[in-house]
Amino acid sequence: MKWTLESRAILIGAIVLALFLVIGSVQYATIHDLVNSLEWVTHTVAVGSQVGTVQDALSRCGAEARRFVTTGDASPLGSYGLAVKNLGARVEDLSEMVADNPDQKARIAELRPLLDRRIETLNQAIAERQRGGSSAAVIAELDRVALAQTDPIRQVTDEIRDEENRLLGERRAKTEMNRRRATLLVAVGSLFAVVVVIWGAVALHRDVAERNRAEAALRSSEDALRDLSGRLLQSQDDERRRLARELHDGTAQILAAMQLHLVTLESLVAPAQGPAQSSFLQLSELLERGSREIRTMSHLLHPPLLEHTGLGSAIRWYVKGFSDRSGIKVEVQTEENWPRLSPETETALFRIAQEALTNIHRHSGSSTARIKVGMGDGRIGLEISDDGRGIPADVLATPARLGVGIRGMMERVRLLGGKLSIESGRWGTTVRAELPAEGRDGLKA
Amino acid sequence: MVAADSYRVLVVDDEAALRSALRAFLEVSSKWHVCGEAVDGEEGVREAARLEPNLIIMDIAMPRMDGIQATREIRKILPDTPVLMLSFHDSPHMVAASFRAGATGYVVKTSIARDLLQAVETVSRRESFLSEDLRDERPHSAVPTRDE
Repeated sequence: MKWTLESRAILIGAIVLALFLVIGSVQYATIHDLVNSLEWVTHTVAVGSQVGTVQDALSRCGAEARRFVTTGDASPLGSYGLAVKNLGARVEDLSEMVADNPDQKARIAELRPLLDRRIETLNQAIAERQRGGSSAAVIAELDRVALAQTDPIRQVTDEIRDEENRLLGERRAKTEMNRRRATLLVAVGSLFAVVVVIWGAVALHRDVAERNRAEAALRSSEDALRDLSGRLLQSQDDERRRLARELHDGTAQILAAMQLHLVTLESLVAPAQGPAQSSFLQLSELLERGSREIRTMSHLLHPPLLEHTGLGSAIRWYVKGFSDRSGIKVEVQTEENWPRLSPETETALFRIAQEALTNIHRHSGSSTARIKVGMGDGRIGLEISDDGRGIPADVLATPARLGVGIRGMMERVRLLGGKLSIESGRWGTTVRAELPAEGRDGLKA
Repeated sequence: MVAADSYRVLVVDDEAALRSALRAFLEVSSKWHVCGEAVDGEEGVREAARLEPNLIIMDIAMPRMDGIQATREIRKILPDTPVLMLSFHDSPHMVAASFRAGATGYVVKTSIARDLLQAVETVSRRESFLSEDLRDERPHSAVPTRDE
């Protein structure tokens, strides 16, 4: 199966997209894990902190109760009440924070009664002092039970903290692993993206370079083709000129000499009579006719008037002969005294007129035609029109379907930097050619 | 043998076969004698000055110097010698240019056999001559009529 450029591009694009999706998915999952593990680390640190808060709250309760018991001043009682409420709230918070951990939940359950008993002891001490008990006695009682009550509390809270520290260690290790994995995947993904971009840029550059090369080659071919086309036209004109000269300088002269020799011969032999005279006459007429035809052929190939007097005279001469040969009446409008143009310009316009009239004779069915030549604004315009059946629209619209003659006209005009337009319909056809009016000296005429 | 009262004709044409044919044609009659030949306008001017012919038959399209320029030059040295132009060109422009240069007659080579004898007879009398094919298009006022 042959892979086209497009199918290869689609396949490669699909593979790259799939790889990007896979890498992206893995990166997403890894970063999600990293965020998750970071949250657990934060949570674990918070739990540890909360344990400390519970311990502080309990210490505050003991301190406020002791103040009251020591001073007998009622002002610490408000703070004590707040401290007890705060302790309860902190324990509830701690309980919620470790709700997912059965072991920690069990420790909280173990802690609660210990904290309750301690608060009860403090309440009893406060109540005894309020009844007028001695502060020293109450404090002594508080001191006697403090250690027995606070040690188990400390033990449980330490166990809770130790468990959280252990979990913190685990979760930090997991976080570090996720961080490394995420970093690696981001690096891999970035590298992959860079590789893809570079590869895409290289491929694009290569394709653009290849396209530019192809376009340059195409332009070069087109230029070469145009150059060849121009040379062929020039070669055709040169060949016509050469043939015209050879016919004029060679064959025509020989026929003229033969005419003279025939008359001379007739004079030198005995007066011709009857069949001999008839033969002399016919031979003479044939030679004259042949001479005329050779001359006409030579002038049609390359009219001498085009060199000696210019475009206007050459067109008028050609039209006269064309009308005689074809029976088509041609009206010519040209100016009389315009400057001579370059040989290339005059030859091109003459050949265009010649070709257009030939087409009128062969295809149009028209009995009349018009030629107009005019100059202005540094340009010379030639218009040839007829009243015939026109060129079919589909043929006119497709240059490849136009005849060699019309394409030759287009090429002549293009080579000299001019324009050619053809309008055609049931009313007839009009060919317009416009060229820069370059004078014989190469300057604008 | 050349008759003493023969018209001495100089033939100027770059085509050897045509020069030979003109000589044979003219010298059928003892009235005409081809006293010299030239292959181009430059030689034609030199030979005209040297030979002083009674009549010059001049082709137009020749190398080095064409017949019209040669006629102009010959007119300066032999103002009375008639020049009969021979050419395949039948354009009014060419005919007018020939007469402006000083030619007395113009024969189109396609009908040379038909027109030449009458042409040399006419121009030898210093009268202008045009081939019959050209008479319908009197090209220019420079072409004198028979009556002028």
